[in-house]
Amino acid sequence: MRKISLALILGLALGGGLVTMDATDAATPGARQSVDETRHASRHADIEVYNVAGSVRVIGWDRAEVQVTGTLGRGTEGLEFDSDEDDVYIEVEVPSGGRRGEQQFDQVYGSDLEIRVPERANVEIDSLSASVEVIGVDGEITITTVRGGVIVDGSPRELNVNTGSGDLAIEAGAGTREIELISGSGSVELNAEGSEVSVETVGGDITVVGLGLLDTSLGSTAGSIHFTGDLVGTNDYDFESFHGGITVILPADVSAVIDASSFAGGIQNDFGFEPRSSERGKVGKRLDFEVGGGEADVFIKTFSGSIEIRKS
Amino acid sequence: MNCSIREEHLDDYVDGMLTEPQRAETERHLESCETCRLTVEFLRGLQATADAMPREIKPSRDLWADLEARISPTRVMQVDFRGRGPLALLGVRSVRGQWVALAAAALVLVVASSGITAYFMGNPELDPGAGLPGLSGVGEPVASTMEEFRPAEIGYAKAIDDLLQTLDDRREALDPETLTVIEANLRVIDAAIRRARAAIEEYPGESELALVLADNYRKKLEFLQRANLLIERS
Repeated sequence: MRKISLALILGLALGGGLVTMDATDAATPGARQSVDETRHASRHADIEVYNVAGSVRVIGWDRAEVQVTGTLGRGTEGLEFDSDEDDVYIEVEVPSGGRRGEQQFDQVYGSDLEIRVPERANVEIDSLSASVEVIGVDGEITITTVRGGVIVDGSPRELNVNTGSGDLAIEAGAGTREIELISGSGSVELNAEGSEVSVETVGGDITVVGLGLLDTSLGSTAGSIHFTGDLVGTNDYDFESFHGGITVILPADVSAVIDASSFAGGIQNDFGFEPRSSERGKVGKRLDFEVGGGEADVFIKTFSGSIEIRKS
Repeated sequence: MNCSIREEHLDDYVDGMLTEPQRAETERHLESCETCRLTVEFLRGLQATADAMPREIKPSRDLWADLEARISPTRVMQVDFRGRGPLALLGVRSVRGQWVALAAAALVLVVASSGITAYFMGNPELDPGAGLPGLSGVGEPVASTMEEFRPAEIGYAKAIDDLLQTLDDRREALDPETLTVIEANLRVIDAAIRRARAAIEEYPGESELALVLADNYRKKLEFLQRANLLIERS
């Protein structure tokens, strides 16, 4: 606790920020400590956040400031909050060597942060198990968490999320150019407009509702894939799952070449073409056809799942 | 990094893009900054590795026999390149205090994954796509039995073992839940691999199954790469 106090005093003296500790908490070793600190930053600042466990909520606002509020876990050593005009670094500090492998890890080190950032800032968040929520940030967003869930709502210029087991729920507006989501066992739910999209899971189900999506790739080993959306121009739309079923719902007037194949599953198609046996082998079903002007390329492949191609 | 030199500046230095005064100043800095020196070494190693790799090839999709299965380890490394310097090639970014460790770990992963690429590219007979129509010439035999696929499987197994060893070395430092997450995902992929292998045994002659199996090995390789990076960064 002395180390925390010294750090806080130094922080106040050198950084000019405001860090407050509840008086009761401060007098109680191992208690959670509250944080309330604000720093100036440019509107396009790069902001890095590291919180090992607990939660991180980032909200874009119309100020050239970064504000951190919340509470730190009782096992933590304080909050590092460094900033200059263009770079901001926020880290919940935990004892070296004590971060992992402990019982009640989340309870000991779990810290809940709410961070307000300039809405056009680029935000990068790293965590082990914290849940992450980012709202109203228009810059690039990069989130890495081993087992925390992730929620994003806004129009980040680019969005990149990588998680081991956390569920992802993403609402991305028309300003988002690229979305890349990777999850192990967590599910992915994405609503997006006008982006290039890449989603890959190991076991997590993927549900995407898209409006005017550009090149799109959805892939899973064991999860199902459910896509609803229109297709744009000559873009590529790839849907592949080894075990999972794949449902693709397209407008009736879609313009595309569709190539679907399943080794052990069935294929259902609303567009009036029947699947046939695989050309070069003995088993498996294949269906390829052209509708409309045949502009977009749709590629659907599963090993043991079923395929449904539906009209919306 | 704890010094004033930025990653982009070192990128430019390695790429020979600095002016003479900038280069001289950077070299003076490198004499006294071990962190930047290690970074430059890493960037040079990465550059050399990247230079030795085959360029990305856009495969034809008119057949299942896509070339991606053959070059996938390379593609994995190329997909994250967003023009932010060589580290972005691997999805590696600077997290204070972890940068050099990350870079070192990433280099290990490059070597591990590029090893399999080199293994295949330098040994066409080990390529799971070798002989497939449109890839290696018409009329050549297609890998459609486990026996024919075995050399390719050995190549994947070698790269996977390297990455598993890297993970295993960190096992003591991992929290149990993270280990559970990793093992659960690996079980799913391993089940897919077993299923694909069984299908090849059951349906010899179905050449597409070899590509399905190769794709599952590629996914395992990618997952292990990501798992290592996740662990480094968490």
